[in-house]
Amino acid sequence: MMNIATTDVQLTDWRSHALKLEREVKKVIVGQDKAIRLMNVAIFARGHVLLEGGVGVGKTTLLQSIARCIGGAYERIEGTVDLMPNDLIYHTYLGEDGRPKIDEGPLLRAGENLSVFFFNEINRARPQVHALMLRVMAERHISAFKKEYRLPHMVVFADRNQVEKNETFEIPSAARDRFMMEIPIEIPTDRELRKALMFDVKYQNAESLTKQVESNVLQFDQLNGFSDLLQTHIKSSNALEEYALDLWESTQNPAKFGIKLDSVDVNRVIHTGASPRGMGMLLKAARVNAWLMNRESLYPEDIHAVFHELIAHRLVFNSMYENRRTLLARELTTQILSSVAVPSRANSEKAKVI
Amino acid sequence: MKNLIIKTIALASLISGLGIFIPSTMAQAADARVINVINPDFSSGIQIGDVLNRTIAIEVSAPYTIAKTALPIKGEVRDGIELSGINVNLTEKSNKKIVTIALHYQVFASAAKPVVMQLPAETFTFSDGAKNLSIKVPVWHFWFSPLVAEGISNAKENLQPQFTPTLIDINAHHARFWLSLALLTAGLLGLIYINANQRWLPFMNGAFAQAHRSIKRLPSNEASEKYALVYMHQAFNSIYGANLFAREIEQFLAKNPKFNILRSEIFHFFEQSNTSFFASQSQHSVYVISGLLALSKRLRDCERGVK
Repeated sequence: MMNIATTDVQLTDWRSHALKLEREVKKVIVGQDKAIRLMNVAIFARGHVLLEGGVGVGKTTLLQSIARCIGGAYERIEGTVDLMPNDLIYHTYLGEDGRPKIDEGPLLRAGENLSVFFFNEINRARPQVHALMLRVMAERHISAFKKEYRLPHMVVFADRNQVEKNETFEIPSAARDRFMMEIPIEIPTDRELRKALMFDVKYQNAESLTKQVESNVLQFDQLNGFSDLLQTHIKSSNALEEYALDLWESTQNPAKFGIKLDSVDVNRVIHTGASPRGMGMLLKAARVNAWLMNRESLYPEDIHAVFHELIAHRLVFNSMYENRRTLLARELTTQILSSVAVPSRANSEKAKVI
Repeated sequence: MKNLIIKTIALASLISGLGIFIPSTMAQAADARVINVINPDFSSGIQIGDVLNRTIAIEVSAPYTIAKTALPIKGEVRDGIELSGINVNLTEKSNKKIVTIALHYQVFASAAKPVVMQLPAETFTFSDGAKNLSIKVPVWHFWFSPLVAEGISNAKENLQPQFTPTLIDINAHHARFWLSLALLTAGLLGLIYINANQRWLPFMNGAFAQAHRSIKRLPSNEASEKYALVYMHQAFNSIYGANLFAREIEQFLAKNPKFNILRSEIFHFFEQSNTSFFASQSQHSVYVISGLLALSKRLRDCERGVK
């Protein structure tokens, strides 16, 4: 009884902190409410995030603001064609005494205090760098300087430059699958917001802007523990599990659910649907959304809230459709949500038996 | 002596008779008069069995009342004419009374050839307690016609065509009848359209009509609750053209404004459905199903445009 009460208090407290984080970030980042909510979800689901968007849309400011709210250390590295894996681990320089010195690189510098690692233009880096990064993302520890560095609280945010294709190395589908979400950061469409971004000088000084955000709203080193608690607390019904299974199947065989795409034969588009890891992450993120919505049970709306961002980058299209992936993925995920029924007749029959 | 006594009595009687008769004769002219006599419309072609009506209106001064004992007796037959009915009606007007006497005669006389007959003269007596006065209504003559001519040997030769009665103009009645029938039919179709569960008319098999039918067939128990909810969801999805979720209700209503009247009920339905399918809270299934039955009927009414 006591434990239940304590859990409820924890859930309520953390929710108020999570919502405060959103409010704080929204003070300095305008027109990105959905992206902020999704990043909040990713933080509490302990998932890494791929950011999708052009240059100069405020990704860095957004990440710095979030990192300030989460607390802990923020590190950043720029992806370049000559970046090598060791550049993440260490860097060498000549000391004051003229002798070469070795220091920890951005990945190790903060040690366990690293909470946000931003990899800018990850697709400019070589596959070797991707391999290292993806391994660290999965294992959250690395051996260097004859010892093991643990990075238990690290969340990676990576940005892909989608405009230029020269000297870029596309992240393979297996690597993309390691990222929980791919969140689009789009230029606000509202004219007033655009005007503010152009003429309000406060948006033009990122450093002072970030300082307006309250720091340490969350306790970064307790996020893992709370995330586990949250995941076990939010329940899912049989009907919802059946629905999630239908959604998964629809990513593999959309035609079975009567899904159609404009100007594309849906039977030939999909090469591989969502992975088991992807579906696990989908439910994990959906539970966080349910918690943020102050519910104890998963609703289809929770899955919908994160579906596109969780699934789109995991879909592997046949090569002839790859160059249209962004548009097709958006259309397909929208069609899936419109076509896969919940509660379906079949599911309700199963629910009845159970 | 005996003769003297007889003469004396006779004289006394004569004197007393004069004493009574003279004042009454004087009162008659001033106190009573016949103001109207309505005789039968036709005075010829009267045959045996015909009924002839005569109405006499007499105005008398207020103190006089008709002597009912002196009225002609119903059933009395005079020269083959029977008085088959008599009605007396009295209306008062300032210090006068108007006595209306309706006499109904039936002809039972018989004759082999046309003859003149008459409704008998009638005398009516009025009294004010002290004095009497009488009013006499004269006879009314008519030609009696026999049913057949005299001396015929073959009745067939004497047959006459039946008198064709004047037809009543029923065109107006026809028009009213067909109009009423059309209205009744339209009304019945309207009632069927509004209330019928089956698909008897076009546009009756809408999504919510189907859902209502399906829910109606379900037994009211816990196992049926989810079926009922699914039927409702299927109806919403069918009208929306895609899966409809709570967050899209506003778009649904914007697209289908005829359901706007049930906005709060629709929101409540989605909450109820989410609770039933996805939350661990249990609901009272019997109430849920009866609620869904009522809601599906109201949504069906909206769908049929009768709400």
